[in-house]
Amino acid sequence: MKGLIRNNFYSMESNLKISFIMAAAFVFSPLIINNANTYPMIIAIQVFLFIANTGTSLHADEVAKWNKFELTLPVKRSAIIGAKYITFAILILCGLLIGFCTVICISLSGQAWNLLSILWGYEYGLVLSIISISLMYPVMLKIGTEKNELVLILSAFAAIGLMFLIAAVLSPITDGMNLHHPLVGGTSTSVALLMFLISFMASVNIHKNKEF
Amino acid sequence: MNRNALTVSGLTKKYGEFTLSDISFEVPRGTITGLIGENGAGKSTTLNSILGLIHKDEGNISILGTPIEEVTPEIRQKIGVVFDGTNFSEELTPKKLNKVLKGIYGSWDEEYFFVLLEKLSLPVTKKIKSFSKGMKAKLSIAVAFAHHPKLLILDEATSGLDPIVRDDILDMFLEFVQDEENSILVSSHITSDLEKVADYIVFIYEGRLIFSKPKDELLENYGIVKCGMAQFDLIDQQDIIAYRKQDYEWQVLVADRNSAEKKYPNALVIPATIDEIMLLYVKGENS
Repeated sequence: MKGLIRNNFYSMESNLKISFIMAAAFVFSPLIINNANTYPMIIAIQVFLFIANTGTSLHADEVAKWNKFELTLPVKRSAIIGAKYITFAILILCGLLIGFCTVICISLSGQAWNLLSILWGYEYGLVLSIISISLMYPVMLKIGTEKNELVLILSAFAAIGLMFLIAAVLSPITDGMNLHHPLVGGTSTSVALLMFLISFMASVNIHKNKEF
Repeated sequence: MNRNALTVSGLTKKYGEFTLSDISFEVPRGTITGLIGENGAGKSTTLNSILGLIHKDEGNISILGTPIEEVTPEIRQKIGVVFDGTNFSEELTPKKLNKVLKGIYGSWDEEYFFVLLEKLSLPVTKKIKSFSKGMKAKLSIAVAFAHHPKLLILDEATSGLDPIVRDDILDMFLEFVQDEENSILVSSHITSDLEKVADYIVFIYEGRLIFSKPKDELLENYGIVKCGMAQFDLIDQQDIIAYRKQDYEWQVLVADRNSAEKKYPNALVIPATIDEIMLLYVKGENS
C-alpha cells in the first residue's frame, strides 16, 4: 500500500507543484484584496485546487498502462483503490493546511475576519473537493480518463448542486435557504463523507469487474 | 510440486467478433515457452487471461500450482511481468520507481535492481517519459527480474530493442532458467529470438491453437519441400500441413523432413525455420 500511495504522489508531482504554487499565491491574496467577504471563497478554492489536477495524472497513468501493470503487483485490487482514496484524502488535507496558512496571513496582517465565515469557506472547499472526487473517480474508472476535465467540471457542478439541494431541504429549519447556515455546512460535510465511503466501495466493485 | 509453472487448459474468451478458442498448453518449470502468432491472433488475450486482467469465459489456468481464481498476492510476488510499451508512470525516474516497488514487493532486491540498470545502461535519475521505446523495455525487464520471480510472463518484451541489447536480454533469460524452478512465457514477433532461447513453441492463429510443441521437434523434423507443379501433384495429401505457390515454385510444409527426403527424391527438402512454419500456416493453404 505504501508503495502505491508513493507512486500516486510521484505521478502527480508536476501537477501538484502547479497546484501548490497557485494555492500558495492565494495565501497572500488577502493582503491585496482586503475584503473579508472573499476570504471564505479563497479558502474553498485552495482546498479544491489540490483535487482539481488529479484527473490529468490519472489519465497519464492510464496512457502509460500503469493501471494495467498495477494489477500484476502482489496487492489486492481493493488495496489499489484504497491507495487512491488515501491519496485523495491526503490531497484534501494539503488544501486544508494551505487554507490555514491563509487564515494566519489574514490574522498577521491585522485584518478583520469572522470565524464562522472562515469555517464556511473550509466546509465549502471540503464538500466541493470530496463530492467532486467521489463522483469523478468511479466515473473515470468506468468510462476511462480521456474526458477527465469534463468529468471534473460536471462533478464539481454536481457537488455545488448537492449543496443547494441540502440547503433547500433544510430551509424550513434554517429560516429560508441559507448556504452559510452551520446546519447546512455540517449536513453537507456529513453527506460528502458518506459519499466518499460509498464512492470507495463502488470503485472497488467497478475495478473488480473491469477488464484491462 | 507441480512440474508445470503454468498450465492453460481449454481457455476460451469472446470479444465481440473475436474468439480465443480452446487454448491449451503448458510451461514446464525450468523452460522457456515462446508464444507466436500474427497481430490480433490472440497472444495478448491469452497472456491477459493468464494474469487475470480479463475474465475468461471458459477453461482452467493454473499458475505455480495454484488455480488463477485462488492466486494470492504471495503468488503474484513470484511472477514478473513485462508488457509492450511503458508499464510505469512516466513522471517517475528509475530511482523513484525503486522506492515505489520496494514498498510493494516483499522480495524486492534494490541492489540487484541498480546492478541491472547499470548493466542495461539506463540512467537512474532521468524521467521515464524521456526514455526511448527500447529503454522503457529494458527498464520493464529490470523490474521484472529485480524481485526474483519464479515465472516471467513477457508480452513482446524484446520489441524495440537493438540486436545487441536483445542478445544480452536473451542471455539473461537463459541464465534465469538455469535454475530449474524458474520459467518464462514470452510472446514475440521476433521468432529468431525464440529459435535461440525457447524450449517450446505455442502457435496461435485467429484465436485457435495451431500447435504447442518442443522447439527442437519443429526445427529438426519440420521441413519445406520445394518443387514444381508436376511434383506437387505427386505429394501425398497426408504429408502436407500447408502449402503455397510462389511464382513457379511450390512450397510445402511437412512434419517429417527425413521421410519427405526419401519419399520425394526429386524435390528439394530444406529445414523450416519457425518464421517459415508460421508464414506457411498463415499465408498458405491447407491440404
